[in-house]
Amino acid sequence: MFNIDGEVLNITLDMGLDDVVELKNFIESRLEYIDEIGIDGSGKDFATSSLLQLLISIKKSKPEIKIPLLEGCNFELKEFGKISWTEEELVDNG
Amino acid sequence: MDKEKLKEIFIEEASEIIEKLDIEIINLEEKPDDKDLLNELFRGVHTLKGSANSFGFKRLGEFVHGFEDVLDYYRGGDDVPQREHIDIFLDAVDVIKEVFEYEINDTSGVPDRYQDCIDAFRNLINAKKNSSESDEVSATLDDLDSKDISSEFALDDDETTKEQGSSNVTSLQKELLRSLSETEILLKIVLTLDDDLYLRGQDHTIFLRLLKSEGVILSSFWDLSKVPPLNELDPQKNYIPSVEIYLKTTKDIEEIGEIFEYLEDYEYKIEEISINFSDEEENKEEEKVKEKSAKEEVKNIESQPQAKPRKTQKSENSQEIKTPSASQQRSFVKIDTLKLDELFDSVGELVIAQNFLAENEKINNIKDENVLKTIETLSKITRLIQNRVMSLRMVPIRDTFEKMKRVVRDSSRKVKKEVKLIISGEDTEIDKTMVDALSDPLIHMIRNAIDHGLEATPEDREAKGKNREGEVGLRAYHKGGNIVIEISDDGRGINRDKVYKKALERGLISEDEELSDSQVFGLIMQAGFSTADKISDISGRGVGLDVVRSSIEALRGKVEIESKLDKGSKFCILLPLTLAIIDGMLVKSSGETFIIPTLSIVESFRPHEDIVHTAQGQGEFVNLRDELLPIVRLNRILELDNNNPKVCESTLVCAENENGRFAILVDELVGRQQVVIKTLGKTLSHLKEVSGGAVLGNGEIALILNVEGLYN
Amino acid sequence: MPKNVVLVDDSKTIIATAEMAVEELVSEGIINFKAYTNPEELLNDAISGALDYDLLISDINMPQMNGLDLSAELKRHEQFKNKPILILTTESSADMKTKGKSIGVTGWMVKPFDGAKLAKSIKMVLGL
Repeated sequence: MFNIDGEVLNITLDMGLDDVVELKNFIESRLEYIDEIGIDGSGKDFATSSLLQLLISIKKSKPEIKIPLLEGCNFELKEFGKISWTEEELVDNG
Repeated sequence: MDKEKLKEIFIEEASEIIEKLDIEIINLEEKPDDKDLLNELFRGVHTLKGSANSFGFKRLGEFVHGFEDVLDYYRGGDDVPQREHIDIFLDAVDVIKEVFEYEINDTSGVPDRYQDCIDAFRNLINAKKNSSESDEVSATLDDLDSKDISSEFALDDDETTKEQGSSNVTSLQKELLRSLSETEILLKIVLTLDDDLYLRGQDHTIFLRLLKSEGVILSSFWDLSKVPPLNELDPQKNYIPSVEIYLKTTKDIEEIGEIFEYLEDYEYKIEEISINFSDEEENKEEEKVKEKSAKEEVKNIESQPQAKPRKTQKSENSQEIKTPSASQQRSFVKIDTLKLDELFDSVGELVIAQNFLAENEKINNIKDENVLKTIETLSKITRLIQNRVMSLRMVPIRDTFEKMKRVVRDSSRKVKKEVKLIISGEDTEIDKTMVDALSDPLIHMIRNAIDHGLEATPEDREAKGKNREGEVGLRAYHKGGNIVIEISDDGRGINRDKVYKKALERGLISEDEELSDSQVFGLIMQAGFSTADKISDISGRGVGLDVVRSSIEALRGKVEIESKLDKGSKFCILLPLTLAIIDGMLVKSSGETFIIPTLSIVESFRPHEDIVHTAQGQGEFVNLRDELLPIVRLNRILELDNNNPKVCESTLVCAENENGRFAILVDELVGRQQVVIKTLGKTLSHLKEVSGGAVLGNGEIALILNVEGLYN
Repeated sequence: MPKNVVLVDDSKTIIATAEMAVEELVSEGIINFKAYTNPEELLNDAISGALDYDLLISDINMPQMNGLDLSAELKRHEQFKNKPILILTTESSADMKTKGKSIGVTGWMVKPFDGAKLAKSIKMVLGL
């Protein structure tokens, strides 16, 4: 589901929840060694929204990390259409 | 799996449950506060209801539902069912049996007491409810009310925040609308899923997948602002409070709505975005949607069922202390009886083949020790297998006996006598194939004991110095190669003289016949005989004791009656342990081998000249301990040949049938053996002297004699 | 890869009805279907690793174990924590639903179910 190539972590979009948990544990301790996360879209849609969460969370924890897929706050998926999001905190309660 | 098979499964399962109901309710009567019993009952009824409804058997389902409610009430509370309630339960089971038949035979209508029972249930519940539960019920409803109203307000909050951002989205929506074709509509779906989303086995992506199969997902907007940094993130929690999805589809809004069936109402909202479109319209749209979800809330409140009384702490504890009954500790495998029969047949063949080996001269002449030893071992193992396979078909007679409890109850009620049933030996095992056939005769004999055996009224009994309560005993045990079932009563006993006189009148016996007591008593089981002064309907229902006797004989058993005036009577049923294998005595006559069932043999002996007598015109007799037994020459009666060997040079087998004792004359006894019965083909089966055939060890075929048909 | 759907219900009739309802899904290779009448057996198989499922459909009232308790127990294991569970019930009470929610059951299905509904729900929950 994911592999390390130098300082680039490659993941596939269609990993399941268990894999996301595994990935989170893996990354957490190695965050400083990873400079980029490459995502192999290969036409597949993502299998769990938890992955999206994780990627955003990684970016929050290490803003300088490069995650090409997330640039522009949107990306296009094959079947799920255009995914866009907001990252700005809404003012207080929500 | 097809409808037929499904129906079979349902019938099998339902029948099992219904049978248990009877027994459990009777047991409940003895221990009405046994919550475990009530739970068992409830569960059986509950399962029955589910199965019936899944079949569309509404009449059964509804009826059972009422019963279930009543049982639920009793199992969960401290109230204990009284005798009159048990009566209702038993009536209910009878109705269930009837409705069940109606349903599976597709007969229309309902049985007589159907509505009465349903009303009885309803009255029972209402009576109990009115006492204390009503307060509890309304309280819970109030709670529900407030909870839903507050969540309604929550919905409102979401609305307002959305309104603020809506003007931006409108232009996007307009753009999306332009991509629609004629038949398509544009839906805006907002998912506001709870944080335990993944825990419930769900995921945003599942909904996306489902949506994409119903149309085209144009775009989605995800609020990822709440996602925490890595060290605080739990991937198994959902931090995405809302996702807005735009879907274009040809389906309508209700169909799409079905996708979200398992979500809470506040977790999703669907709106149709349409062309003529101003802010005003949008507000109206929102209103409509709000109304829709509000209406749903109201529906939810109304559909909440009445609060049920909580299970008390006591009942939970009783579960722990309870010692599991015998049947719960072992584990069982259900076997198709057909397979068992086949196994049985094979074992039978094995026995025969093994016998062959054991008796084969050539083999017995082999001097090799090892070979002989092996044959001996083979013989032992075969016997072991035979016994074990036979035991597979053996079941304790307990279930059959338990069924009788209800029979006793019903009969004693009907004739207004006080009766106690005493059961013993219920662990005694009996061949499964016999169990069904035994049921009716037993029922009849018990009814007979209660109806005719016991005194007419409890007062009559008291006048005799007996207890008011009559005792009916049901006992089973093994004796020799047979199972004995005794039905006894401590009632009036059978009047020998009366029976004798009546039999004489009816021409069943002639004056000069010498009959033993048991033979006289046995007369009451002859067709066309009845000493009852009036025929009460329970045992006179067209099933006479003669039918009982022939049923038992069909099982190759016999019934013997003992009785003492004013003390009581005892009916003993003797049955072979199994129908397929018979314990027989091999005899030879005119060079042929025959088998006489040992069940019917009293003894065999070589007679001395002195005790043999010939009476002019009446045949030969032998004097056995002062009893004159007629001699039946086997070769003559079977028309084997015309030989007439001297009696004192032959062997006599003293046998017994319903006509009395007699002696069968054979050339010699060969030995005792268990043989597998093979039924005779059509041509031979009408012979009354013969009841079957068996293959002997040496390959020879021996006919099994039917003792009843040898002497009339 | 067909998804594994497991049903546990103490009524053989219900199981037979379900088997009939999912016949098509099974023959099309969309799901595998396995049924248990004993929840304890299911639990043992699950814990020992002999059983894995993608969706569990469970009755509530079973002699050996209550369906909600079964669900709670299964969800204590990492392997089954996030697997969806549908509960079969003849009527629902607010109590049960609350308890169900806290355990994390996915949804409730009313008995008697009709075959088409069952097949549809299975597809829906699994996103097929």
